[in-house]
Amino acid sequence: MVRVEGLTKIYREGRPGEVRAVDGVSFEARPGEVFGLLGPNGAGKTTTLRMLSTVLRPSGGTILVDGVDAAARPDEVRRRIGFLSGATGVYDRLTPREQARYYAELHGLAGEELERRVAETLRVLRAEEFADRPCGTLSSGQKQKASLARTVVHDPPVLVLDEPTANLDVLVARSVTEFIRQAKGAGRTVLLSTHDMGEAERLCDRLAVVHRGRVRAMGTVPEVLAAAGGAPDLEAAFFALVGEEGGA
Amino acid sequence: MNGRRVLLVLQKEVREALRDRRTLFVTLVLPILLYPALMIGLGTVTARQQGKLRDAMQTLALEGPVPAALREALEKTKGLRLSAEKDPAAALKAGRIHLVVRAAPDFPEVLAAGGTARLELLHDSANEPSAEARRKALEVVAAWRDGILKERLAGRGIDPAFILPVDVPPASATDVASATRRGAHVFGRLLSFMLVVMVVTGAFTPAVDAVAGEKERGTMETLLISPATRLEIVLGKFLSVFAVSVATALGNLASMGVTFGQFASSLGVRGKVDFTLDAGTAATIFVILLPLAALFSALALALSTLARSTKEAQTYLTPLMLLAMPLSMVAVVPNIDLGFGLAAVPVAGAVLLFRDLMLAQGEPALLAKVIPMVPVVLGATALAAGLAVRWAVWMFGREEVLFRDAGEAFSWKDLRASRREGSVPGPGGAFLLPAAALAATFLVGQAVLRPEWALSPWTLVGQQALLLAAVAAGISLAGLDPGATLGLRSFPPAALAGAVLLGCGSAVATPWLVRVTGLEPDAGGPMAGFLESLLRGHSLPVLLLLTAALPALAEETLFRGWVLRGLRSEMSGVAAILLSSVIFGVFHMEPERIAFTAALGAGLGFLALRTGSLWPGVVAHALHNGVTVGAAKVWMEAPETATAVRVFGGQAPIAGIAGLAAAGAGLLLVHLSTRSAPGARDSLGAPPPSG
Repeated sequence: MVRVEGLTKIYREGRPGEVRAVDGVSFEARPGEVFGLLGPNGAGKTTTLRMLSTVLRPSGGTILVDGVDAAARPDEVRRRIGFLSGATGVYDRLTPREQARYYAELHGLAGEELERRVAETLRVLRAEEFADRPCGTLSSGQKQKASLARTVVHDPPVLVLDEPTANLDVLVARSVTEFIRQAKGAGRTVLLSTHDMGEAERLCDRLAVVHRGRVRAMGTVPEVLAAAGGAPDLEAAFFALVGEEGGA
Repeated sequence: MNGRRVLLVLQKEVREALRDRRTLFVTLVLPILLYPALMIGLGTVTARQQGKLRDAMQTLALEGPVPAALREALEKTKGLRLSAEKDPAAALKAGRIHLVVRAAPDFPEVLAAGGTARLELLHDSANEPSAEARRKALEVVAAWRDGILKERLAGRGIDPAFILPVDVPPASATDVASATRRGAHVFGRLLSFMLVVMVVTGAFTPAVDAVAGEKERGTMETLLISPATRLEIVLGKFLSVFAVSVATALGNLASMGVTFGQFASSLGVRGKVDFTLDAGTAATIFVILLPLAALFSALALALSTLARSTKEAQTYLTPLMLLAMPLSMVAVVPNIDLGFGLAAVPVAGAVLLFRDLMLAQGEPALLAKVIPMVPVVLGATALAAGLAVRWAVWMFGREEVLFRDAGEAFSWKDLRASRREGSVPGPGGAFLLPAAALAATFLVGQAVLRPEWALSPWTLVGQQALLLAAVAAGISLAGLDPGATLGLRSFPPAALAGAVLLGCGSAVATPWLVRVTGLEPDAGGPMAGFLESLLRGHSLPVLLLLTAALPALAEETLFRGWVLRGLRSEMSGVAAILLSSVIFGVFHMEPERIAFTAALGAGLGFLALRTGSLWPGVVAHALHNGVTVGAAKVWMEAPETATAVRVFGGQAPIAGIAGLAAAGAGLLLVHLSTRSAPGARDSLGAPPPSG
């Protein structure tokens, strides 16, 4: 469960060239739900997710992950998060198993539990076959599985996925969508940012349309379409919501 | 902090580094293999080519009445051949022959009359065979001349010993330096220098890989979202870079040590040169190498953090190399002694200590002089390393640096912005402008100034004008607010009294401090000569304008305006004052005086921040320079003025202490007079919120 209230991030605050990258964003995502942040590049999606995963300090607002305040206990929040973005790479000179183990150990797993989690994660992702080859020698699909293994090796209740299918070819992207459905089925809370309207429609239970750091509409896909005055699809709804600014 | 996670990061980095076979080979294995090949190969080739030159045939031509006996001796010499060129000098210039032996027109007559006849050996020093021909011919000529001399002496019944009252044997026969010391003198310098280069290169690749590489591969963000804190990550990465740097330096030390040893013994045909490292020396060098490697590892890591890609990181690391080179080259520059002052300079102190340790091997008397430097060098290097690690940690904690795409990317457009109210330069600009001004002063000096102008007062005027122009250009290009950047504001009148006390007090205290610390500048140096000619050449008012008023204005504008306020925009007041005063000290390029200049700079910095104004600093600075120069002028014109001699020769402790007290009282007065003042006064606390 993730709850965000009035989240704000201002760059160069109080200085010339001030940018309000995220401006009072609020939403709530529940376990077993895929919640989407839909918006064009530069809308503030990545900044929102980075604040959520505690690597950026918010200028204002609160974040609760599983009831834990991100500002007060960032370490506890990180423990509960699995993060993946489309730009995430792998360590070319480590094997998928070593990479998964590295992250599992950073998360404090040790001994038998460590070995069990690593083995199970690789098995579930069907990555055992290439688990002991250096990542640099793997195909892009295999690399993506190595990344996914690293994301969930500590069994996080919340997944933060920042444009996870960007830069991936169709087949690999499909394995990521499959992974998202599995995670949802396993009762994880999935936060997903995307600029792909089709992907948002297919995957998200609920979504927030974000533009210039602000939420313009929020709800299930039919609710967002209705809020946009009965738009036929999300793309039309998006332009209806952001109006004249859309091209900017 | 969790030590286990630091260790995890370290393990992973080292594992990756060890698996990067290609880099490992190029940075570690290849150089180690290359030294013996290069050194011994080069040595052999050089020796062989020199041998070839000796054995080869060179051509010479005779000009003028060269005596038959000499001609015959030259003809018979192995490796020389006579040629019958018509215009020998032209043939020599054209490279057809290698030497011309030219006898003066009256040569036989002068010789016969018992006089000194002139014989010229025309040669081309830029042509190796020609130089060799001269060497061969000179031997022949000398032998022939000695024969004539003997005949002349015998003719008059004089013992040859009569004309050689004193015999000084050749240097090689009377050298007290042991073979080890001679070896250390040549190879120890080189090794000291190379060690630093290796520590730097050893830190480069892993540092680039550890942060910029992770950013580039897109693994950095996920690592930051893991439970490892930034401190743990950066320490783990730092330790891995440090380990590789130390390993590289040690591998190279061993390889170079052995190679130099081999090479030295191959040189010393008569067992004259020897290069070895005893266990104690090697261990001491190793201990000093540790903070040195830590220093460069942390610097490289911080710069790598600043970069968005590995390519950018390499660009940032080049200046680090350029900085390390001159500091480590002091080892090969002749006539630099390691004193306590230099020992405290990071890198330079360490390389000089390496050099001196190697020179003092097996010589207890020399060793006793070097050993006291070890703790100083160790302390200074460790301090610098500690600061560098802190900087790396700080850099790694800055989100706008770690996520450069998310925050503000550097853009040249920022430099052309229109003027913005209240805006001041950033820390980057604070470093850049003095460096650029220094470079410009040097380049302009090289390109424009003729040697005879070097001592002209116009050089001083030009330098100060250049500083002012640099600040003006910086402010206008970056669209900054001149008032805020320089502190063009009013100030409480009581602060002016404080400035007067500070300026006069420091002028009186400095000569005494210089004397007490033993950091006296070189009296025979070019600066001293310049000052003396200035003092002699100008009346007091002109002197005060040239050396007090003008420099005070220019230097305060640059250092207490641009630099200090630039640093203050992102630093606590105390840190900004200290850093700006170090820059101020370094800028003066007088190693002995850095500490004093920096201390004065710190006082002036305090003045500038507390009053919020440039002007009290200008007054204090002008007074400091003016009193110093004025006293020197008085002293020079009336050497019998005992008081001036004692005070400004630093021989009056009471005056020195009184000066210090006055300077301190001045600072206190400034502090008190600005304590309750409104607005612009600076409490010197934390950096201002977001700039």
